[in-house]
Amino acid sequence: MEGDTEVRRRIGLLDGAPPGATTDPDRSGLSDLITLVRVMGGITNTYYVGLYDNIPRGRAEELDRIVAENQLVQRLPETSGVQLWTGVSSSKLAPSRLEGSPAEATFRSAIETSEPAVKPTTFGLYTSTRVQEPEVSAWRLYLETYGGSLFPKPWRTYELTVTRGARIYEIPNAQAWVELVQRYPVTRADLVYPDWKEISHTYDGVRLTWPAIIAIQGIRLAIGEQFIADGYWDAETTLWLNWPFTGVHPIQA
Amino acid sequence: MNYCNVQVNNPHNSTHVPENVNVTGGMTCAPYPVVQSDLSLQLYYNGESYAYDDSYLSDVYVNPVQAATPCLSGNYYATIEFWIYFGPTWTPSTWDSEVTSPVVAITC
Repeated sequence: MEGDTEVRRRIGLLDGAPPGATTDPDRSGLSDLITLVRVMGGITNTYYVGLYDNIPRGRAEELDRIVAENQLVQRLPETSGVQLWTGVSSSKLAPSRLEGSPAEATFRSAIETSEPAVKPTTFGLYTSTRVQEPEVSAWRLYLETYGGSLFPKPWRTYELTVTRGARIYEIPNAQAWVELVQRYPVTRADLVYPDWKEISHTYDGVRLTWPAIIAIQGIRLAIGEQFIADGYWDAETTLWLNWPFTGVHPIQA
Repeated sequence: MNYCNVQVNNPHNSTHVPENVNVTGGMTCAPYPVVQSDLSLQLYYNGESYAYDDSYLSDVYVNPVQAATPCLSGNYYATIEFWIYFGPTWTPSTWDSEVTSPVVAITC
């Protein structure tokens, strides 16, 4: 399947990236992450034009095997587990965007979901794990690389304290993504999507790790005789379907 | 010696901010920064200029550009015109050119 070719292509970009990806000497330890964000953020729903006839398809087991060979992924440090959320300013391109800190009062749970989506935008909350003090996360690096007019400054980052009993479905690889969608499927127009409403009854959050994102972004994974809709996560992410936070603290950079 | 790369990615539906078409690109230079860099990004919709961004930065390794606009179904492409000054000790000392994305059909 072309998914194998595509994942090998992005592995080549990741492992072949020249050193010195950072502009800031204080961030020399983030070079690998910046490369990841730059490469994966460029893989969009039209990136395959000129490369493949259609959105590539693949089988999770094979894609995971290819990603496991990625030297850059093997070098990634252990994460802190601390969850950060970065708010951006209002934009006429995002008229419904709320400003200010995330709050339970304005949180919309997956119960209100309607249209199937791999990465929903009408409910939930997205956080990204702190990778460097005080406010650097993969998502923050994405904003710095690709933010622009869709995510105007000033940006404000908050640390969210997750309750001890929060139920998180960890997705370390493509196979775990397929297993989740297989357990909670909803089909629309011949493609399978995760049923986030059903998932929210069992889990408060779903965490997409870097190895999983490398293997699944922009690829339609086989699930039985069908295929999962392609998704574009861009950065290590946890999608929160319920509100399991006990504290929200602004970070003074 | 030219040690920079300038790339324009394909225009696409934004998955982070739905109902917008987004295009990104920029300059990346390694292992040295460049003295000056000037990039102009144009997003075209059905052949007409539709969104624009430019960025002039000094003493940098990277210079990203990005443009987005409300989505209309149709054909899109993007170009980046750029001028880079490596410094007086480099030969050539400047590089200017243009990169263009393929035309992509986008449905909103």
